[in-house]
Amino acid sequence: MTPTSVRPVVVERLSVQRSGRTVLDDVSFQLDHGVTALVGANGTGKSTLLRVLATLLPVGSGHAALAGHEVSTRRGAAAARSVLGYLSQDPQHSGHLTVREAVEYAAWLKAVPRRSRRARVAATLTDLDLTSVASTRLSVLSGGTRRRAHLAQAVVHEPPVLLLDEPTTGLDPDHRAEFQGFLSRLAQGRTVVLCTHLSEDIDVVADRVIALADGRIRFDGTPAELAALGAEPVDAAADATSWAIERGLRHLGRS
Amino acid sequence: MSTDGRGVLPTALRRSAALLALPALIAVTLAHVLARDRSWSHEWLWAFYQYQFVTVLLGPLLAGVAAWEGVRLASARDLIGTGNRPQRALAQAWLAVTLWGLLAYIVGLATAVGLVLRTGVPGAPGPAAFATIAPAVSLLAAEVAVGLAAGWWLRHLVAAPVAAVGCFLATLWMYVAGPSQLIIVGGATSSLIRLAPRPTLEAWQTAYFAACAVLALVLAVRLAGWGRRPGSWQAPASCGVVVIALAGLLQQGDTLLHVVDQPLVCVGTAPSVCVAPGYTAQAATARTALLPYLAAISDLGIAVPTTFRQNVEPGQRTVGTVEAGLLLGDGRSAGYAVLGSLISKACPIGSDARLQADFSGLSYWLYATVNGERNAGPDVPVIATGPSTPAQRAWLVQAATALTACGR
Repeated sequence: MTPTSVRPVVVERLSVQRSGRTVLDDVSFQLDHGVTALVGANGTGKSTLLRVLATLLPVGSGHAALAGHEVSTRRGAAAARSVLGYLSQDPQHSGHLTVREAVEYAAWLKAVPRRSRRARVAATLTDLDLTSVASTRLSVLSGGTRRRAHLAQAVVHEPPVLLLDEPTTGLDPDHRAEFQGFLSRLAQGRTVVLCTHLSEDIDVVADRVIALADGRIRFDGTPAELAALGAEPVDAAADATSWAIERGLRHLGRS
Repeated sequence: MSTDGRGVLPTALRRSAALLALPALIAVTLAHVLARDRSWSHEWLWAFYQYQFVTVLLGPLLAGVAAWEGVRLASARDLIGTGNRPQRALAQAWLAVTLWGLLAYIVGLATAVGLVLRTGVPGAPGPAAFATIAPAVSLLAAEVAVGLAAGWWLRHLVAAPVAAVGCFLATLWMYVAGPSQLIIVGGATSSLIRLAPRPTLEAWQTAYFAACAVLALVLAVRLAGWGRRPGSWQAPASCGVVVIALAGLLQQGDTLLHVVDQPLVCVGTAPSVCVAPGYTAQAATARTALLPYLAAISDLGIAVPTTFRQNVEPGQRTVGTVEAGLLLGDGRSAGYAVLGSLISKACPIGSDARLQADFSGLSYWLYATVNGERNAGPDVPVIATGPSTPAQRAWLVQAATALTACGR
């Protein structure tokens, strides 16, 4: 069956094999606006799912579509690429470019029209508080600022679907909190798929959680529902929800 | 600075690895022009054709630089892969490296042109000279593409030396193993008077190298996995074009040069020395060097050529040959030019002991008479080394007649 829905993200019975191993097995879900956290232990297929949606890996069987564009066809993938922004797990756009040049390059790659490109780049730099470092080379930026610059590359063409693969991993707590703030703002009116293993990310920005284990969906619900899985009496500390989510994730891991 | 309205080529140029390597690229082209023999500076075509030999060093160096650029680009592979312009992204990087390489190439060529102008060669380089540029630049562009693909694929800086050394060794191997038309786009150790590169061969070389460049870029895209997207036709199509161009090039054969008419300028009479326009300043010197040798032979009653030309094969009875040494006024070269006009073109002197003795004796006598040189080898007949007598004169006339007739 070909998905005809124009929901931002539709995945139906998606299976992917890599090197003879089933990485994704009969995965189905649909996403609307908001932030969906994709969680699971290492090797459960989170990044593979994101890369399939980002048209970087081929669909094995089943269907995956962004804004109604089937990613497994040549024409559909081309259309899907224009509506998605992707931030890979380890983005290392060569540091010889300045922040502005890197974002301009991304805008060109995403075919932002020439006449509006300059304004779009400027607006994106402003949105992500990068104006003051616009002329600084990526190689000399701090980890958090460089991550924001890469996020700017992913969103410069204003994609309705944003695919982020562990964007906060490796950041110190301050930069992580800052990044989450930008993410919350960018998520308004968009569909964001956030691949993460940090319960704090789920607590702060996610509206929905999909947990993968062995390539299959093991949980699909709200952060509160996930937290309820691992709920037990704890102190009323500020990170109580994150703690409960963490326990919920561990609970999923055991079951 | 913004690239709005101009694409990202200005940024690609400004941030290209080739810009950092530009001093080294220019140094290679200048070394090729200035640090080697410059006999070519009297002929436009020879100068241009000889300059194209720079591809042997510049090509591999550019391949290494392009590989470096490819590694840089590969670091943004996911970003590029989620855009709809992966081919153009690679093409931009390729173009930036190629353009910087072209600048270095032009600096070297301009220096060569300056040296030719300094020798006083009149006129301007003709179409045949300019045509030598196309296959050379096309070859450089192909090596840039190969290097870029290597860096893009290996994603490690080791790709730079691998690409550079690999291209250089491949070039050497092809020079040795051939077919020569697959790699030689220039380089001549002697004058190209009455010779020129074959235009059809140059056209096929240009097409072949250009097709290889496109194929390398297409394969780079394919190596990233994007080329396996459904409906991808570029790789098979590029392979097809390369095969067609290769077949066309191989069909041309490995004869790189063909004989052409060469307009000459003649200086003096009896003898008249006719040379290409770039050598007119040396023609009088050559004529002066010839005169005593011609006089010595004439005194024997043997007819000598009244014309010496730069564009004739040696061994023509009525026309002497002007070689590079003669243009410099070298007496030994002048003597050989005169002796050469006495010998039948097809005469196998080396395999006939008697003819060899005739030639050696006549040579000895001529140089001894004109220059006072007396270096008699074992094959010089005694009569030729003795005092001037009627018997010696009769022997010399007989020897010259035998050489002309190719047999006694």
